[in-house]
Amino acid sequence: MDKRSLVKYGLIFLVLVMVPVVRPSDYWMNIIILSGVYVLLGEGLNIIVGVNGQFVVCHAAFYGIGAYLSALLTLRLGLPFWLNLPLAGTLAALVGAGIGYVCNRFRGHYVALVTLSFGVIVYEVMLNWLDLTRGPMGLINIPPPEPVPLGVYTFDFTSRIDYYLLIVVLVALCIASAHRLIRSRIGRALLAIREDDLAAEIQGININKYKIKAFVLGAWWAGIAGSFYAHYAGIIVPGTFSFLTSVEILVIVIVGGLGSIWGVLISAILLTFLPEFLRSIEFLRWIIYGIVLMVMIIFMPTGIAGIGRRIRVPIFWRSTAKEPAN
Amino acid sequence: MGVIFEQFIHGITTGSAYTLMALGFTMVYGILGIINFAHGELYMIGAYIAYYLCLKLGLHYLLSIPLAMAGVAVLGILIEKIVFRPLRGAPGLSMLTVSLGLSIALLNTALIIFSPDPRIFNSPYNFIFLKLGGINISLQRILVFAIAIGLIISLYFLINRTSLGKAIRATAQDFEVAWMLGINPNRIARYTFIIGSALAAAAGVLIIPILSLEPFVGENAILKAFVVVVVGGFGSIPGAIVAGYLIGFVDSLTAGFFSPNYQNMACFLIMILTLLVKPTGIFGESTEENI
Repeated sequence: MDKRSLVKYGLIFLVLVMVPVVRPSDYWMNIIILSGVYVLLGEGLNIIVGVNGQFVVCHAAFYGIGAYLSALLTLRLGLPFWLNLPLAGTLAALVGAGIGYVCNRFRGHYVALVTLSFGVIVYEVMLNWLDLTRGPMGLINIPPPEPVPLGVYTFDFTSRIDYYLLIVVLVALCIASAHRLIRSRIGRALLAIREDDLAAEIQGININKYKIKAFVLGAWWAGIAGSFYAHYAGIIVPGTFSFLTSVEILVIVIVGGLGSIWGVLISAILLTFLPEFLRSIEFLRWIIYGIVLMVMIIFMPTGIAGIGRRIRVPIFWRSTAKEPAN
Repeated sequence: MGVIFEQFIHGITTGSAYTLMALGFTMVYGILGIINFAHGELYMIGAYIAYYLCLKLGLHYLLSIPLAMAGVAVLGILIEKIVFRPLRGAPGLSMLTVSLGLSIALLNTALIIFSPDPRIFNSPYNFIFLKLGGINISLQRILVFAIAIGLIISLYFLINRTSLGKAIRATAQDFEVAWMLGINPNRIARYTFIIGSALAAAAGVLIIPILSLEPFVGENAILKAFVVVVVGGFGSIPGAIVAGYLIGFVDSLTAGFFSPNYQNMACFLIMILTLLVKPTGIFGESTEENI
């Protein structure tokens, strides 16, 4: 590993280790853990929208499907969290594959419309299928993950630190896999499809197959995030998985830079922490989101990654963020 | 028998509102290539303007209709100039995203200014009833239909019998060539937004007295407009009209015979069905880009 990477990962490791050392209050631990969840969501959506270029606005639906499945499997069938976590990811991925298949025939704004309506349908099902989901009252008393004994320390999830460590592990896995994905054959295919899908098809890339793969990968991480969130928060309601949440995640990806792993990471953390510092103008939050979205698209379409690239920050040198076509 | 007739009337009323919404939306798309997520907010703002005109200034309901349309048309001009014109020529997804941002900004501004509490916007015609086919129909419903038809006919004359309409049609056929032939695209963009926004506002002012008024009504309206435009064909005016009434009936019949909870799902199912069977919609033409 060259010196630059060493410095980079060393810094990150330092920041991560500082957290349990500093012992922030429960309130701030919650924010930190939530930002981790949003990183998972953002990176997942980044694969579909950023790397593959499909405008998908139903990510909250995948998130919710993972959350509800995991919660229901524990509450109704007594299955352990550690089993439900991958199951949630798998179900979300399967649903993602289905939607991806439907969207294969379309491009551009039709994909947006189909995913939009899918998201609304899922939300309405969560709201109206009372026997399964208890509707607007949601699912409560979701138990925390089962304890994991690891030598001297047992992760029993009684304190937030354990959740923090779990989400750090998940985020690390997510970033690492996204990093490898982009540099693999699959990643190159996805990027090619984003830039010009007709040209990609002519080159022999089976665009339908790869577009579905993008959905599967993105939705998988959303499902994982959902499962984690359900057992962390202990309560889930349909409102958490509405269209607005999908928009939130989309904003994270766009602000980060479509296709940039590090940009989305920074953006997710930033956009989770920022509302805390702007508490006094909390009521303006969504207006600011809307304006930020508009301004970003008009003036800075490449997001944080683009800025990073321009001012030559090293992480962004080989960024795969999408440049606006001119 | 009376029940079916009642549902029929409800279907016509909702259908009229959906048609007006969809017409505005499909025109902006067909002529300028813009998908305006914020179209629902224009509908909502139109209703609020009329509400305050009637409430605070004591204007008669009928007078509030053209005034609200004018007010929202001005807003439409501003939106076109500030938000969409800088992105002319950008990929469609940028347009979508920026209109999404606009929709969120407008919705939340309305939430702050008007508060989320639902209000009752009463038109005097809500309380006058006609006895038709054995049931009581409020005059408001008939008014909605009548004014909608009037607007649709006016739109027809505008598009087909005026020189502005000709210029609009030319731009819709081919933006660049129309530009080359001397048609000012900014002027066309402005007028398209004026028409589209005014129609959305009209839909709002007409139908809200039958529903209730709160900032989120725009969200529901835009979702239905999407369905109508997909079913009718993006950019097609006859499509918007036919599909508008069709979806209006689906909406009302679902609410009447099943439950209002399933309205959205029924409409979306129709949309997905259309996408699977004939993706370009009833009157749409398939272009290379999207299918």
